[in-house]
Amino acid sequence: MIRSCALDALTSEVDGGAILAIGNERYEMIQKFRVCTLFGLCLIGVLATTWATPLYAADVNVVNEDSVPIYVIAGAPVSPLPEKPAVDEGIAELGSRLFHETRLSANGQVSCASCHVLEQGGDDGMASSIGVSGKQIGTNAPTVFNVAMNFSFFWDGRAETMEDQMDGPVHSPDEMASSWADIIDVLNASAEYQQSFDDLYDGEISERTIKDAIATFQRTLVTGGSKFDRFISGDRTLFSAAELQGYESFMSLGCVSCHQGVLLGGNLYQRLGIFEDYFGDRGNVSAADYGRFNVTGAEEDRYYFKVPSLRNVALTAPYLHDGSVPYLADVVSIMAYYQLGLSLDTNQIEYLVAFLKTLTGTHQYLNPNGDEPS
Amino acid sequence: MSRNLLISGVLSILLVIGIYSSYQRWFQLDVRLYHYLLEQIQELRVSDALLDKSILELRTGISLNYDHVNNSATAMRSISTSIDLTVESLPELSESVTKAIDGIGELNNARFVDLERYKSQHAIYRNSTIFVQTQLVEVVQEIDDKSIVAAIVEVSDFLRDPLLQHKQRKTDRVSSEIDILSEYADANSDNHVLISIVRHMRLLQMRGDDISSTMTSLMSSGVTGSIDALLKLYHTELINVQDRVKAANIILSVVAITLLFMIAFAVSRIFRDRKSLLNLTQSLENRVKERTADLELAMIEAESASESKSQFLASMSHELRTPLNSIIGFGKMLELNHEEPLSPDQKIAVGHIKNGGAHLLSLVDEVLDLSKIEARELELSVEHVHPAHVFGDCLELVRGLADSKNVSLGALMESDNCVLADYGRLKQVLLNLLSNAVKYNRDGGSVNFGCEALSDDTVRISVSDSGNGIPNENLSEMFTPFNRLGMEASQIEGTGIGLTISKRLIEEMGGRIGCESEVGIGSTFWLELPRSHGNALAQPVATRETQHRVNPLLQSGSVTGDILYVEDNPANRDLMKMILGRMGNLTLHIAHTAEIGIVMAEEVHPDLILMDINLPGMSGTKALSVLRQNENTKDIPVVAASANALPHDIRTAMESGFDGYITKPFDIPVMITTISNLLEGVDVDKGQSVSVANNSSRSTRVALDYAPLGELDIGRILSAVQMLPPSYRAILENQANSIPVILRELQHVSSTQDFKAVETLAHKLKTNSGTFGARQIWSLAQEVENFARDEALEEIPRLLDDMEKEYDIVAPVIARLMADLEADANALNSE
Repeated sequence: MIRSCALDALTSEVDGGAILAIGNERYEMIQKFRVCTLFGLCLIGVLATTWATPLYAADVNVVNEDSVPIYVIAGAPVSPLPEKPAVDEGIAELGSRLFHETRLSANGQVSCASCHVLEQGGDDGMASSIGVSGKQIGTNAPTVFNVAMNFSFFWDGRAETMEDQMDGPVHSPDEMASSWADIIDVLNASAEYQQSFDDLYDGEISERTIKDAIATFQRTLVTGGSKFDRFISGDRTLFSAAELQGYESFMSLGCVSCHQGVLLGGNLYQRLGIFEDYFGDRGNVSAADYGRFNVTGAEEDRYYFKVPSLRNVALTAPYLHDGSVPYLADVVSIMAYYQLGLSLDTNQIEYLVAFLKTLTGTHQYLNPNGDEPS
Repeated sequence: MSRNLLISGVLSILLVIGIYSSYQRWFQLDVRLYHYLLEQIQELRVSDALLDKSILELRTGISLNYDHVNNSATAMRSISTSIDLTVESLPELSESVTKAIDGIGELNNARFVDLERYKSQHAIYRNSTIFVQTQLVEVVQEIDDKSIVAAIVEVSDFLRDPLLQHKQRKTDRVSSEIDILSEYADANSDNHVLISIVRHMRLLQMRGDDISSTMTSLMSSGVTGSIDALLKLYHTELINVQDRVKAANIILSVVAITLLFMIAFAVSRIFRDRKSLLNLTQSLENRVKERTADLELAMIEAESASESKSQFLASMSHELRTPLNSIIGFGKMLELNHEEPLSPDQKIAVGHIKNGGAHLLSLVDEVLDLSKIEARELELSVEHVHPAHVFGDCLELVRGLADSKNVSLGALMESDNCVLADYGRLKQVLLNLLSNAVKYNRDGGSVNFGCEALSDDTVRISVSDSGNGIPNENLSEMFTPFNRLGMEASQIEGTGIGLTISKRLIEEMGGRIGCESEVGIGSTFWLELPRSHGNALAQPVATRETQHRVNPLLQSGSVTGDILYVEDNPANRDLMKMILGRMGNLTLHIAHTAEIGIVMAEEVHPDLILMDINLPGMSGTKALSVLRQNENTKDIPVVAASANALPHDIRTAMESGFDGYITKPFDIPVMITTISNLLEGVDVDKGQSVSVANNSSRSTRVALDYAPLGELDIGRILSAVQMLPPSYRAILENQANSIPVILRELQHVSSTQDFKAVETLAHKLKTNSGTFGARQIWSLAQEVENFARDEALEEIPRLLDDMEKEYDIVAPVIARLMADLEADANALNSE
C-alpha cells in the first residue's frame, strides 16, 4: 500500500521526466547492484544524460541566417508550446465542471473561473481580483492558460505544484473562504458529482481527487498554434516587418533574458526594478510587493517575483503583479525602463507590442469559433 | 493417535503456508522496497548530475533556457519527495541512512534556493553581457576617443568572460575604467546606448561577485558527495538487510524443513500404527485360527473319546453277550429238549442259569440303552398316551415283586389326562419307578400313584412309596449314573443307571423328572410330560402277565434249504446247529473262517449264509463283498450274525449289503423268522413253488398256512409278536378286532363327506392292518387316506369293497394266529 503510494507519487511527480526512463524494467538489473553498481550507475548516467540533452527548437527551426540575428540562431531560449497532453477526458471534464463550480466557495458565488475567466484570457481583467469577502486581494490574477508549465505558482512562487496552488484561493478568506472538507461535503451532496467520482475515482471524493481533476483540466489549457510558435517552428514569412522587428528587439534588448523558455516566462524569479527603483517610484509598498521575500524570508529576495509568462499577454491586461498597468505598450515601456535600464522610443514599443500579440494562442475557450489569433 | 498426528500435520502445513505468506509480507516486500530505495537514490544521483550539467550549461552559455534546469530541478525534487515517502515506509532503515537522506534533502533545498538566485542573477548577467556585446560595435563607432574605446573593449572583454571575473588584480582596474566610461557617458548624455552600456557594465561589475559566489555555492552544494556517501552507506545497509533476509530464509527453511519432517514423521507414524494394527489383527486372526484349530482338535478328540466310549460299550456288550448267548441259549435248549426232559432239580438249576443270564442281559441292555440315548440314537415315537394304560401294564409286571415284599399297590387314579410320549419308553420309565418303589420299600409298605394335569400343557405323573426316604443331600445325585446312594451293599439288585435312563428318556420326550423325599416317611418320584389333548388309542389295560417265552412256532423245523454258517466261536456254532436242527429240513454247513466260508459258498451254493462279522482274519463284511463280486455267490442272501448290537453297527452292516442282521445272543424267534423270510424270499425270487414240508408241528403248520396267502407278511407278524412285550398280545388282539369295526365305520363315514373322519379311520386301519402285515389292506388304506386328504371320495367305495374282499381272505388267518398265540400263552401260563 505504502509502496504503491510511493510509486504513484513518483509517476505523477516525474511524469515526462527523462529520469523515468529508468523504469521498473530495470528493477531486476539494479537488484544485482552488488556486482555492477558502479557500472550500472555510469551506464544510467550516460544514457540519461544523452537522452536529456535538449534539442532546442530555435536550433532546429531558426536556420535562416540572413534574416535572423546571430544570437537568435545561437541559442534563443524559447520553444513552441507542446501539444495538449493526452489526459483522461472524463477527468478533464470533471475538472472543468469543478473549475466552474461556484459551490466550492463559502458563499457559493465564486468559482475558479470567476477570477480566471477562460473566455477572457484566463484572468479577470481586474488589477486585483475580488473574492467572497468583496475585498481586493493583494496581487493580480495571472492567466490560467498554460499554467501547468510554470515552474512554480503564485507571483511569489510559494506553491511548487498546481495542486498546492489550489489551497491558496480555496482557503483564502478573501477568495473562496472555503475548505476541502466543506467542498467534499458539497460534492457529496451532489448526485451528479458523486456519479462522476464513482466513475472516475471509485467514488473517492477527496482533496486529492478534486485537485487531481482540476489540475488535469488545467493541463489541457494549452494555447498552442500561436503565430509566434508557427514562426519559430519554421514559417519565416509569417511575421510582419513590425512583428519581426519587435522579435529582434525582444531578443536584442534583453527581454528574452527573463521572458524565455516555452512560456516566455514562468521559469525564474526576477527582481522587479533592476535598473530603477520600481516600488520607490510607485510608492505605497505593501507586503504583497515583497514577493519572494514573503516565501524565503531572505532580504535579498525582496521584490523578487516570478517572471510571468508572456503567452497570450495581449489578453491578460492589466499587467504586473499589482495590476497597475492597464496597457501592453505601457508595461513594455515600464519593463524596459526598470528591468533593462532602457528608455524605448514609441517605435520600439510598437514593434514589441506587435510581437507580443503574436504570442496569443488558440484554445476552444479563447477562440470558440476557431478564429485566428490576431 | 493417528488422527491427532494427521491433524497436527495439517496444522503444520497451514503454519508453513502462513509463515511463508507472512514471510513474503515481512521480508520479501521490504527487500523490494530496499531495492526500490536504492534505485531512487541512484536516480537522485543521476538527476543531480543532470542538474549540475544544466547549471553548467547555463553558466557556460550553452543554454540560456531555464526550462531545462527547471526540469532537472523538478525531477530531483520529485525524486527527493518519493525517497522521503519510501523512507517513511521503511521504519527499519538505519538512522545513519535516514539522517544522510535528510541531510541531502536539506542540501538540496539550499541548492534550490541558490539555483533560483543564480537564475535571477544569471538572467541579469547574461542580459547585460549580451547587451554590452551587441551594442558595443555601434557605440564604439561613434566614439572618437581611443582610450575610451579601449576601455570599453577591455571592460566588455573582461566582463564577457565569466571565468575571469574572479581575477582580483584586474577588478580594480576594470572598476576605474568603468568610472572613466561613466564620466564619458555622462559627458555625452545624448548617447543613450553608451549610457546603457555603462550602466550594464556597472551592473555586471557590481553583480559579478554575487553571481560568482552564488555559482560557487551552487556547484559546491555537496549534494553529489552526499549522495555518493549515501550510496556507499546504503550498500552496507542493503547488505545487512540481505543478510537478515538470508538469515530469515535460513530460519524459515529450517522451520519448514522441521515441520516437513514432523509431517513426514506423523505420516510414517500413521503408516506404522496402521501396519502394527494390521499385524495385530493378523496375529489375532492367527490366534483365533489356532484356537479354532485347537478347538476342532479338541472336538475331534472329544468325539473320538465319545466314540471310544461307544466302542467300549459296544465291545463290552459284545463280550458280555457272547457268553450270555451260550448261557441262555443252552439253558433254553435244555429246557426245551422234550426228548430228554430235565429232572425237576435240573429244571430249577437251569431256571436259575437262565434267570441269571436274563438279568445280566437286561443289565447289558440297559447300558446299551444309556449309550444309545447318549449317542442320540434313541428313536422315539411320540404319540397320545393314556398314562393309566401304561400304569396298568406296569402294575402287572411289578405285582409279583410287590407281593413277595408284601407291598400293597395303590389303586390307579382315574384320570382322562393324556400325555405326549413314546408308549414303550414311558412304560419303561414307569416300570423303573414302580419297581424301585417296591424294591426300596419297607416290608408291608405301600406304593401310590398319581396323575394330574398341572396346567393346560403339563401332566404330572407321580409314584409315591413309603420307604425310608432319601436324605435331601442325596437327592441331587439321584439321577447320576451308577449311583446307588449307599445301596450298593444291600441285597437289592440294581445297576444304578435306571433313574439315569429314566431321566434321559423323559427329557428326550420333552418332560421333566424329579423326586421329593422325606426321611422315614417315603419318597415321591414324579415326572411331567407335555399334555395331549387328542384321544389316545383305546388300549385296554393288559391284565395278564406272562414271562418272556420262546415262541412255540419255533419248536420244530419248518423250512428247507442249505445254510452256511461262518463262525469262529464253537459255542455259537453248536447253538446254531441245535436251533437249525429243530427247524426241520435245513442243512447246516459250517465254516470257521471267512476264507473257508467263501470257498464253501462257491462249492455248496447255499440258500442262505449266516455270517459272523467279527471273524479272525477276513472280516464278515469283507467276506460279503467278496461273495458279492463272485458271479456264483452274489445272489446268495447273507445275514450278519454279530454280537455288535449297537444301532450304528447294524446300520453299517445293512449299508454294506447284508440282507439281514441278527444279534447275539441270538433271539431265536427273530433268528428263525429272519432265516425263514429269506429262505421264502429265495423261493419266490426263483419263481419256484413253495416247498411245503409235511411237518405236523403246529407252529410250522401255522407258518405254512400263512405263507400261501401272500397277502400277509408272515415275518412281520412274527416279529411283531416276538418283539413286542408279552402284554402286547392284547394290543394285537385289539387291533385285529378293530379292523372289521373300522371297515364298517369307513363304509358309513365315506357317504358323509367327512373327509377328516375318513382320513383318520383310514390311518387307523392302515396302522392296525400293518401290524399284521396285511399288505393289501395297508396299501388300500393308504390310498383311501390319500384320497380323503385330497378330499376326493369317488374312488373310496371301490377301495372299500376291495378292502372288504381282502379282509375276508386275511381275517381267518389273523383269527387263527391270534388263537395260536392265545393257546401258546395259555400253555406257558399253565406251566
